Parts: sequence; structure tokens; C-alpha cells
Amino acid sequence: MHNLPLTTIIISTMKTFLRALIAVALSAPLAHAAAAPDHWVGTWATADVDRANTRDNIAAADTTLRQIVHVSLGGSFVRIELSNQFGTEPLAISAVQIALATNPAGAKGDITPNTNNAVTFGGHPTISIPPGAHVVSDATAINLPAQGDLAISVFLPAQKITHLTVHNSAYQTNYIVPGNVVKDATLPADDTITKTSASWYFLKAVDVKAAANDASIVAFGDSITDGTYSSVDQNKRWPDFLARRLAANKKTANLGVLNLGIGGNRVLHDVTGPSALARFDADVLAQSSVKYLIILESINDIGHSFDPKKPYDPITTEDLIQGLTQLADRAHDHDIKVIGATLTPYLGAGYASPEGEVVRKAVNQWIRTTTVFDGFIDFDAATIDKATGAFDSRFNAPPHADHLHPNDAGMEAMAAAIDLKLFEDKK
Amino acid sequence: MSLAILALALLTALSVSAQPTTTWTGSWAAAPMPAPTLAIAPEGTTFRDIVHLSIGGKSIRLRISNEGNPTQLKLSDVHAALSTGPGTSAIIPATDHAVTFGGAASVTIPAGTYAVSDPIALPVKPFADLAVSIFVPAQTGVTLTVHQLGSSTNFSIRGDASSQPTLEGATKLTSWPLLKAVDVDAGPTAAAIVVLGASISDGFHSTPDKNLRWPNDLAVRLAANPATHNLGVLNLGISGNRVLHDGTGQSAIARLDRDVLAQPRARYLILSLGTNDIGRTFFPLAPNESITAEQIEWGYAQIAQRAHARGIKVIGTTLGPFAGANYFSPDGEKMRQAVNHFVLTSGTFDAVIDFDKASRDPAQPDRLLPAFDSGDHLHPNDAGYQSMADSIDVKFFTQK
Repeated sequence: MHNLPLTTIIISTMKTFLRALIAVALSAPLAHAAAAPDHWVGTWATADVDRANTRDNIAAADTTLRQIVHVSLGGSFVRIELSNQFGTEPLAISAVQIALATNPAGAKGDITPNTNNAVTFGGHPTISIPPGAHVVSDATAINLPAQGDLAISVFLPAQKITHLTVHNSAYQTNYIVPGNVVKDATLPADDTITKTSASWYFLKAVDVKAAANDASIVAFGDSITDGTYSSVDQNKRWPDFLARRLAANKKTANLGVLNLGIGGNRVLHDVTGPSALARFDADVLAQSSVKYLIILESINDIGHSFDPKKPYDPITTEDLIQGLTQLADRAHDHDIKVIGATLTPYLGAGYASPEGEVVRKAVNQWIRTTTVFDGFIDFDAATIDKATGAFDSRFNAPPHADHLHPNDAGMEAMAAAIDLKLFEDKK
Repeated sequence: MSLAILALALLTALSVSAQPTTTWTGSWAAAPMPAPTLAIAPEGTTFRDIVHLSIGGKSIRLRISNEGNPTQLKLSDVHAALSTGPGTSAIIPATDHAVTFGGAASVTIPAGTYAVSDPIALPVKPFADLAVSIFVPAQTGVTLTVHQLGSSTNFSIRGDASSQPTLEGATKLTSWPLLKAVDVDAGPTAAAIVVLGASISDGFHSTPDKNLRWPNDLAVRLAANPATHNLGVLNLGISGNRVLHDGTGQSAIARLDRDVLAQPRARYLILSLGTNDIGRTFFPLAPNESITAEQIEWGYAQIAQRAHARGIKVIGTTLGPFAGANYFSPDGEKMRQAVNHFVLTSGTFDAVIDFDKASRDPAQPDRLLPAFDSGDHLHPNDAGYQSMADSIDVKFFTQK
């Protein structure tokens, strides 16, 4: 099924042979590919949205996208998922390479040359992704360390793209270069040739081939999970801090963290991306080997509904509880444990109001006490200034003192507030 | 700073509650699509869907779809009851239950998603006919979601008639409005088989109100075998559907997450489509729709790989003969043979079903056996669908 290097084939030959013998013994006349599929676990993922390709003008001419992603779990085989979920035309991709990125904080998209490998899809280096679909690559050998930075280079031949499938806010610098440079170790130093981008295009997920009990945690949320105001290229979103804590703890080192936050996202209404309910199948259930789901979302539903200046899309506490319960039910159907997260403070934010604060507190009280979830994380307690009810000023400071988004220290405090025992379930 | 973080961590409470004891497994499902022509009356409209379950259970749960609609949809007064049988709106009144959503009788479903109901204390036997009544209050700018080819009679009537024993004067519909799935509590050993297919799975030209699509016939066979009686069959066929191109419904590769991977306790996938991709290559409805056998095979492999990643075993099927069908061509036949050869020999699938062999005329193998031909030389009749179901080795579903 996969194009594996010879060494792997030899290593797995005995196992495959034994499985084949067992299959023959069972003598099911139809069965002929009885080898157990490899166990793939998500190590990185992002939630995509629809963006018109008017400003970016991607692939007006031949273009290479070199995009850097900071993974959680390591592995020696990876596969990547590329998405044309919001496209209205087939997306043509002519070459894909993966490599280890070299010092992503300042290296202009340089890669470690001897790590650069071609990625194929069902044996093909060239693919066309139908509108609305995503594709998964073949297993590709690379020695990817845990917490490593993977450079994914995608060559797009010139084509008409009306709608991009894009994660708007990567908090990671990515590179757009003319022509096909997927194999180049360094990109042109000239800023007029090598353009940078703050978004991830057409990327959906990176999986690693893993041991049978390895699994992933989905962090599902809005801008606070997405990492708004966290330092660019530093991986200081709270799920990044969580991933580092999990990796340092023997009992949880087998868990990947997938960040499915979208800035502006809401539980009950579309706008910045489909609502949490509408994107649940694609962004949560379709990920590889998800075992836990952390839900931190509702503050934008509350904010816009009770905005003192421009209220819209009115909702109630009961509506939010109904929606969050739906998400939990749908995850439980797939044996995913669901961890609710209390909403962080928002008094003083642009859309805050006393009426909204009443709802935030009510939702938080429900999250702390409900049996709908399998556990909860108290992000509110971790970030609130109890004296004022607003964000703790250490965690929401100039130049981004918007009373809504945590800074790097706030992100770290959130991750530190998570009891890792939540993820030590052995079942 | 680190002390402050530690203090906050200690403040953080933790509660771990038991997992719900109910195990939901799909018993019935249909693929949702937008239905721009279905209107809501000024006083609101009640829709009554009659659906034929596969496995039974101690209680049931509904999933109601708003996935074909770009705006939110408000529902209220949803009821579930046992139907007196296909073709009639009559319910058995003593079995009627009001359905709630998080305890509320009404629910507003956001754009592009669906609502899961609370558990309904209505025990159902295998192959029960369930009547689900949904009142849609008057609202504007809404496109209702349906499954187009019901091959069964469903009903709509003005006003809120959800709890009425019969819907006198109702309009008959051949589509299933709004309902996308019925799950049952059939215990932890139950699982579901999902059929991802086109019109032949959807039951085109099977006798209406008789539930004689091949997945129905398969469900009957599974129920008769103690080793497989707890396997639900979910028919996610869409008439006209293709592997790689949208048209009638999103392409199979695009709808996989929603229609297959998201189904509760889906453990098996029967992948059975491709004939429309081939037919439309030589008789296109729109430009740039032609594909090659290799592209179909690539699509199959993608679908198998993504299902495998979710622990779902994947069964491929050969494509039945279609000489004489309106989009038949000798080149198309060559492509069908190539795809069938791939299905039978590639090792992409965990098992294969030879639907071609089960439905073709041995004397003219590019044609349906006349006794199995519904008349259009593409879709089997009831006997042909039965022959397809009979060709499936159900032992495959007993393997762990």
C-alpha cells in the first residue's frame, strides 16, 4: 500500500508473513490483505477556512510554498494531509518534499539538506485534489524528533484558484517562492523573490507512524487556542506548552497535541470558519487516533451576542450548553474523552458587557459541574485577576492588553493549570 | 512566575466522571443533501419520515441534519414512534415519544451541521419501521436538507401534527426530509457497516416501500447469523454520486469524513461506486469531468487509507455490467474491466465483493443478467439486488 524503503519491508516481512498465514487459516475466501494497517497518530494539525484568492493570488504563476510546522510527537515515518476543502476547482500539486527545518526562528526557510524527501500520494508525485476533498500521502521516511520543525514544500503549477483552503493565523513564518524550489536547501535571500506569509495554505495534518497505544489530543477552540498574540515562530500557544509538558512526563509522552483553534470561531454561528458544530467531523473526528478532546470555545458567541455597541447573533447560556453538549455527545460516539475548559476572563475586552459576563460565568459554572464532560480544566481560574474579574495583568499586558488574549506567559500559565492525570487513562 | 503558575495549578480543580453507559451504534442512516424545492408553509410544516432500521436496541437516538443549509434551522416538537408499516403515515400511538435535545423540545441547528437528540426510551426490534415527525416552524431563507432517493413514502403536512396518529391529507414525498440517522443502544458488541455508494446502493429501481435495496438484503442476512446479528447496515449511497467529482452530492472522497468516518461505531466500509465516474468520462455533463481508471483506483486507495486510519476495515466491490445503459461505451467498458481487475487484485482492500459476477449475464458478461435487469441495463431489480447481497461472504464481518 505504501512505498516503503527496502529496510522497512525486510523488517516487517516476518510479521506480514505470520499475519498472512493466520488469514489463510481463517479461510475467508474474500480476504486477501489481512495485514493490520499501520497505526498513524496525529502529531500536528490545523483547522482550515475559506479565503478568496484575491489578495494572496496564489499560483497565478508556478509557485513553491515552503511551510513550517512544529510537531508534537516524533517518528521515523510521517505522512501529510493536504486539503482543498474549500476549493471550487481541483487543486493541482506537482511535487511535495518534506525536510527538517533549520532553526525556524530566523533561517528564512532553510532546511537540513540530507533530510529532504519526496512525498508521494498512492505512488504519484503529482496529484489533483478534488474540490471539497483532502488527501493523505504515502508513508515518507524522515527522522523527525519530538517537538521538531518540519518544512513541507509544495509546488503548485500555475493554475486558477478561486478559493484558498487556509489557516489564516499561523504565528509561524512561511515562505512563498516563484518556480519549483521544493528541493532547494536554501531559498533566495532577496525579499522580492522569497515572500513571507503568516498563513498555512492547503495544510491539514501531519501523522507519524507510532506504537499501538500512542494517541492524540485535539485542542478545539478559537483565537485563544489558535495563539493570538503569542510570539511568532516561538511556538508559545497553550497547546504547544501542553505538548512539552506531556512529552516530559513519562506517562503521557505518547500523546500528540493537535491545535484546531480558529481565531474568531464560535460554537453556534459561522463567520471565521464554520461553527465548531459544523467543522467537528472534519476537524476532530477525521484526525488520526484521537483519544482526548479539549473544548475551549464560546467566548466569541457571548462577545458578539452581548456586544454593547453592535450585538448580533443572539444566544443564551442554554443555547451554549446545548451546543457544547452536542460536541461532547458526538465525540463520545467515537470513544473520545471530552474535557471541558472554562472560558478565560473577558471584562474590558472590546465586546464585553456585564450581561455577557453573567453568561460567561454561568457557562463556566456548568463546565465545572456537569457530567456531560469527562473532566475539566479551569483556564478561568488560571488567568483571572480575582480582585477585578478581568484578565490577570501579568498575562495580558502591553502591547496587546486587549483584556481577552493571553500573552506567552498567560499561555504558559494555562498549560500549567492542566492536570496531566486527565490524560493518563490506560484504556 | 513559576511559583505563581504552580499555585494556579494547585487551585485547579479536576473532576473525572464516568463515561456514559449507553453505546450508540448506527442502525439507519442516509446521506444528506440540500433540497431547494422543499418549502415550509406559513403555519410551519410537519415532516414524517418512515425509515426501516437494521439492528434493534433498548433505546434510540435521532440525528437531524441541517447540513445542506447556509443558515440556522429551528425545529420544535419532534416525535418518534413505531410506524404501522411502510407506505402509510399511521403510527402506533402508544409508542409515540416526544424527543428532546439537551432537555429542550426545540433546537436551533447551526448552518452546516446536525443535531443529536437525547436518548429516547423507545425499544426497537431489528427491522422496525420507525416514524420520525419533525415540526419546522415558519422561517425564511432556509434550504431544507433531505436524502433525495427515499424509495419509500414519507409525508409532509401544514402545521404541527407531530403527535398525530395519522396525517390525514398529507402530501406524499419520495425523499427523506431532515432525518440523517437513527442510532440504537445495542450494547458494546454492536458495530456498523457503512455502504458508500451510488444509485445501485441507494436502491434505484428497487420496489418502493419494500426495503429491497441490496444493503437491506445484506442486513437480513446478517441478522440471521448469530455471529453477525449485531451489525447495523448504514446506506450512504447517493444516486448519481462519483468518486472524484461533485454533482449529485459531493464526491465520495469529499464526503468521507461526514458520511462514513463520523458514523457511530462504524467498523466496516463497503466502497461501491465508480460507474458514474466512468460513464460521465465519455458522456460528460460538464467540462473537465473525464477521469482514468488509474485515477479511480487512486481515489479508492485514498478512501481506504483514511478509513484504515480510523480503524475501519474496507471492502472493495467490483462494478456491475452496464452495456446498454445510456452512458455506456466500449471505452467505458474497458475502464470498468480495468477498475474491476484492480479491485480484485491490488490488495488495497481488506476484502472484496464481486458484484460484477453476482449480477452479470454469463453469456454476455458486459450486460446485466436479464432476470436481474430493472430495464435500464444499469440498475438491478429486486432480484438483482438480492443476488448482490447473497454474494457477500458474511464471515468477513466476524473477523476481529
